[in-house]
Amino acid sequence: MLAEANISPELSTLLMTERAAVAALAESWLAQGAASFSIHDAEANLVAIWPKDTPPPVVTPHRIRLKFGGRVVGALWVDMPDNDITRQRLRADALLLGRVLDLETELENMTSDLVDALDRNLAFQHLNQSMRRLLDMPTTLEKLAQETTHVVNVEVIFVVLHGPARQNLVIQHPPEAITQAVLNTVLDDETHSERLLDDFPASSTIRNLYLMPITVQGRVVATMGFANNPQGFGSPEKKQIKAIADVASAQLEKVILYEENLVKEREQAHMEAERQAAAKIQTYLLPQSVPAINGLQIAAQSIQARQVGGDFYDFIQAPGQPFTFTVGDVAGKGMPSALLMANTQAVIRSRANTIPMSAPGHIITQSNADLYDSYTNAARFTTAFVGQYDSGLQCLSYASAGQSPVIYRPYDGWARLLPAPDMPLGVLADTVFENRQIAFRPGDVLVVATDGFSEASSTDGELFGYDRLLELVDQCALASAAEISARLFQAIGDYSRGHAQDDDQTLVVIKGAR
Amino acid sequence: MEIRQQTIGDVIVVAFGERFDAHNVNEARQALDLALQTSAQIVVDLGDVNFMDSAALAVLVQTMKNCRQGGGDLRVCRLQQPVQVIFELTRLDKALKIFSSRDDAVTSF
Repeated sequence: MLAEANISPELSTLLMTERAAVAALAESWLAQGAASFSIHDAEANLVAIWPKDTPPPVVTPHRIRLKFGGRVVGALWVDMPDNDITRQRLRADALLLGRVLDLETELENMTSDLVDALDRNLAFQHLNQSMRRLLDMPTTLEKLAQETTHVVNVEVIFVVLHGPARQNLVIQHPPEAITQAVLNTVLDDETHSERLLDDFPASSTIRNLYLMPITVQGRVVATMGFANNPQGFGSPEKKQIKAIADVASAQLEKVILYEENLVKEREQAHMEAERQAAAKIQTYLLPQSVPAINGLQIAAQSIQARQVGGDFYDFIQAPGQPFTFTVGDVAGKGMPSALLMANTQAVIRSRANTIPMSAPGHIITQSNADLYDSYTNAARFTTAFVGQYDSGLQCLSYASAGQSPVIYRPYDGWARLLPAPDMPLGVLADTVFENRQIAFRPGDVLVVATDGFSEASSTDGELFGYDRLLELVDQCALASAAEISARLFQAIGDYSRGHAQDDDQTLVVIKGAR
Repeated sequence: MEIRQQTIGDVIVVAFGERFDAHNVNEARQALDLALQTSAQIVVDLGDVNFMDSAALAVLVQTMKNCRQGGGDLRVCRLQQPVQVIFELTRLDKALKIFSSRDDAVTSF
């Protein structure tokens, strides 16, 4: 090769890649009697000659121009007498070599495209992969914009997350490439459709812009923008963009669901904390200790079925008033009953304290009047038992608004149910509650329970019932009030083992003592 | 819980099935509220009910109040023994009129 020759890429291809084919052509000419066969550049400088080291012909040889892509890239010279056949053959050779150059170039381009496609495919995989573990929206969008630049050949990529009242989150790559004003006009379109915009004013930095909506569960949550693709947006580009939008949709859905879940968990935790706080307050509302009353043994306990319950009991010792105790059970379950429980316990206590020398019947009648509206609005009622002990007369006055089971066992007789004379509180506005009396001497037992006791269920679905309760009270009547209470709770616990506690279980045991 | 409704003249009869408690009070309330839109004279047939808890009783009491406010009343009929006992122990038999047959309840208005 001579240094001064201008070896174009095409000639280079011929002489390097296809040297064997060119040499074969040359040998064939030489075999036919040609003195030499040579290749020259576009300026007729010698590039290669067969046989090697032969001086280039000076007498005008037969020549033909070598063309490629409409350009003259060189020439073929044959040192042989010119005639029709020679001319024809040389022309054919040139055409053939030109064709070879064409195919070489096509092959090179295809290889280049393939490598490019592979690169973009890898970049696409990477895009998918890199967002997989992200659960934070801004980071996800940032990654999306960033990684997409390796997949799609554009100058600027932006992602807009559509928020309420146009509080859109915009991520651009490179940052700040497109001004807010331009973005606003672009995003003003409420239709959120996939579209190409290419009629920007000459002064604008944007030449073309492809907008792609990203939908999650049927709703357009974001829009991706691809600005300034030098090759425009043809079918392959649109396909790429669609594939990216699909990946983005899946990732955004994941992040959105995760965020919604977090909110839900936070709310649940908050509600749980509130419930626990309410439960704590309820335990404080019940008497923290049993009062020491002359002539009485007292025991009381309440086991709630849920965190908050509707059962209550109370001990009231107002100065100059007989010892008064109450037990109640608000209908229904949960927080509403708990709220009514607190209110009812307070109202009854208040009436017991403030009405001078008041009998249980009167206390309940007044309390019912006070509470009627609340219970009607809440669509509930409450059972209640109010008892009062007169140590001088050794008798117990009581009023009962539907409270059951209430068991009375005289020291010298059998346990029997004390039926409630009246209906629960909150059923009728003007109920007048009856006052009743029973003797209460040492050894007499009164058990006031809520229906969680009689309705405790075994795993067979059979209820504990009143007969078993009466029998139990007879069996342990000689024990102390505390012991009786413990035995009753144990019996219920044993009976209903394996069956979840459905209702609150509350017990107040009063026993006459010396 | 199965709930069946029937109209006999101006009276609506609503029948509940088997276990009437806190778990199905919402359905029961809805059915009774719906009946109230047609008539304030309601009979609740408890013939198939073998258990009622306080939540269920509360629904009946509330409906009774609504009926009375509407110029009518709520009556119950065909109480099974365990349910009869519950009504007696809580003395709700003083608040709600109880009948042994559906016909008696319907004609009592």
